[in-house]
Amino acid sequence: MKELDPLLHSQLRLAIVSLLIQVKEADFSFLKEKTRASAGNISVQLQKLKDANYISIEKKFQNNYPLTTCKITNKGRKAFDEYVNDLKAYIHPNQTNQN
Amino acid sequence: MEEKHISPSESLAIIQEMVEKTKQHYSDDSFYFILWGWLTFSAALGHYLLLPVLHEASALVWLLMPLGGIISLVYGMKQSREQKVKTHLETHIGYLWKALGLAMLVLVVSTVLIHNGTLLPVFILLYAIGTFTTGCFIEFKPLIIGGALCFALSLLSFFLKENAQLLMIALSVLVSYLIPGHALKNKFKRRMNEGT
Repeated sequence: MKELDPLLHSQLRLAIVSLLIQVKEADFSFLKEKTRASAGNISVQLQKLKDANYISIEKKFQNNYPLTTCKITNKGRKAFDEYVNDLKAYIHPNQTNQN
Repeated sequence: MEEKHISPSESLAIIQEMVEKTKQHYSDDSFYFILWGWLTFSAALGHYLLLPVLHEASALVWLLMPLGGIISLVYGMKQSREQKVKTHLETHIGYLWKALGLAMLVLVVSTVLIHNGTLLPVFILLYAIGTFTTGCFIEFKPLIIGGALCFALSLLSFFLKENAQLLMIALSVLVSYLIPGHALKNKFKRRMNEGT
């Protein structure tokens, strides 16, 4: 059985990508609110996803406060689709073998 | 949510949880319907009532429309800055209304420049397309019904004289912008109260 993408097979990174795959773009506070993770932890995971080119990050200032907007890339979208397919194979191994 | 080893079924649960949480995200889309609804309703009714007194000059009440454009632009920029998340649906609905707005602008310019009769039923047709489609996208029945009624009102308007068409414009924004707009606002408020 194929190994699950280690970059996505992590609680917080998977949660972030699962949120981003559904929207056009989301800012840092939206990700923090939905995942309930700490800001520091989210920052680290976002950087890992960005380094892998799974997401793009735009940083700007709004009323003197930093505003970070994240967007999933085509590579990230493809990786997520593949991850979900591989996950199906783990959860229903017999069904996948029959297909 | 912290970093730890997860099983495939836990992964699935995370994906499901995040899908649910995104579904629970609502935005208040009623502002533009209410703003443009009241502006157009007032202008159409004002034009109709002032027509016997001021004649052609009564059309000046439509100068309210550029005011709506400025308010929409300022509100849109503010909302875009404050919005935590932009969904694909919101973006697509935005494109639809931008295209309809441009079509209405073309109609306004051609009506003013050519002066050969009224295009008011075509405006109602554009309201119909916008509200019916938006209603279907966001699955909101009052908009769908309002839009459907506008198709009928547009057809009817083609058979009417200009002053009666003004009343049809007022009626069409009442059923397709104002009533659904206020209903949408109430729905958003209810959802926000339920969420807190």
